[in-house]
Amino acid sequence: MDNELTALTTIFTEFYYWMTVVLMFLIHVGFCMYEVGVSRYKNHLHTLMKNTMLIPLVTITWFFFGWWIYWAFVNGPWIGTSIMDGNTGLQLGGGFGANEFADPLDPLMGINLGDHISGVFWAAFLLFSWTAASIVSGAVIERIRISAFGILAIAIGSVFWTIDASWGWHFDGWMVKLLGYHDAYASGVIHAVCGGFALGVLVVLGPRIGKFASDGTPRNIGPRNPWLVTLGLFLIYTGFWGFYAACNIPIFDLGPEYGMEGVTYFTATNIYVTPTTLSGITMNFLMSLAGGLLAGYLVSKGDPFWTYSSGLAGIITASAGNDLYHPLQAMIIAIIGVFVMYKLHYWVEKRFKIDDAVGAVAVHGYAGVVGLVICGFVLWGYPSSGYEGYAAINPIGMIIGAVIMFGLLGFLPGWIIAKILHSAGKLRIPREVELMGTDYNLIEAASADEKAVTADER
Amino acid sequence: MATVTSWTEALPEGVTQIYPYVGTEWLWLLIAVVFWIYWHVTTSAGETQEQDELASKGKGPSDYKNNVVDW
Repeated sequence: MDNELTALTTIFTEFYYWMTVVLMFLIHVGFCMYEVGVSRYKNHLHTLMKNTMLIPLVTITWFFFGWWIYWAFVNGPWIGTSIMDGNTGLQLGGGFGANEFADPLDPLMGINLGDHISGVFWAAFLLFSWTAASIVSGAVIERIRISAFGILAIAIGSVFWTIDASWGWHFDGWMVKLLGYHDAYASGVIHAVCGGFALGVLVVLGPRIGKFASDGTPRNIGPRNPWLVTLGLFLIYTGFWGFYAACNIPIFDLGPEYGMEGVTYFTATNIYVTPTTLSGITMNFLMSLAGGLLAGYLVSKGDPFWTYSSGLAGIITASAGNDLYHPLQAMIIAIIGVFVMYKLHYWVEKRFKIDDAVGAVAVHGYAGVVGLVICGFVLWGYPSSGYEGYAAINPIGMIIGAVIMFGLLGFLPGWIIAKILHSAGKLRIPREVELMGTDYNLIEAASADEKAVTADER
Repeated sequence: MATVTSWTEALPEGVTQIYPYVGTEWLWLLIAVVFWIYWHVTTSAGETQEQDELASKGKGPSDYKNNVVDW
């Protein structure tokens, strides 16, 4: 940085992403509170530790190979053709096998005075990865082994969501180029894929003991601590704001980027390097939150758990196109998404005996898929990129994209990995432990400590 | 070993990586990966043992309530 303007722009961008990382940490705090609030007393600490330990596991694997995957598979490999070549001047990576800068041994993967962006960008994506794993975490509480969940968390957090981001959430991704896939704030690339993954795991894992009556009628094992649930979801909303900001590039000159001679056009962009504004997406975020809350209250007849979850589902539904929607469109799309996901949740629960403890498959998976499909129709004809040769946004491309996200990269890997773990007897805790509670030893030890201290106090 | 011994010399020379032992990243990566795999194997075995012991206690669904503390 040899002049003040370059230095200011660079340090601003560095600080901008750093702030988003801190804000997004609140998503994880929120998920922890939410899950503990939903679980029963005898499982609180097991639930908490499961969600906590995904932080280090996903972080180190993201360093080892997750970040590398994001930059390695933008073209499939062998599906699309990269625009990152000498002609465009974009030589960040170049596609499969040519992404040295995301290699854990690369000079940019550490404190480097010649680079102020790679680390915070790596961290922002890492926080998305935590969220991906945390979405799955809630669905499987009270009966999964922590060691099994650790493997599943790495699979979704550092591998499968990363592949879909590489394909459909990258300016050079083949799904963007060939399908016209558009998913600005990750209805599909985080939420649909994780909802699908969670469903794949749940099919193999099975319901909690007592969830279904002998005739198959589902029973409600509702939230045990509404205050933790409330605070958790408010924190997730807050962190989601940081996520929206993190999905943008805060300042970019699109003139030379798009090859427009003599044109200077500074703007914020989304992850596809197409223009939007932080101001406008903030309106859309709030209107889709409002639409989700209103619809959730209506459809659930005022149930607090579903009303709060529906606020989140509303944002998730509108997120694919929230870089371009009008705020009222964002609100109405959110309402549609919430109605569909709520009805689908109970239909799937009853029909297939799926015990999704926190509604993660519905809130993230179904709402995400609905958001992708609606986006394909509402944004039909918009360019998916400013670079030449990209397909325009269209319904068919978005529907195919939804199938890839929810089914191919979500449900299928979740089901396969869970099957392998189940075959090895490593997926589910023993029935006796599930009945007595996963925290039994800790509760018993605390009681013994209390008795010993009390005896001395007499 | 220090990568930088004088900022006034290093900065004009355009130093980039400033962490110690530049060039040995592969060794640190190897240690980290080995520890990561060891962690999974060990914690999985420990969890199996702990849950087997817990299951053999033969407690019921409400027995934990006898041990709930209020301090």
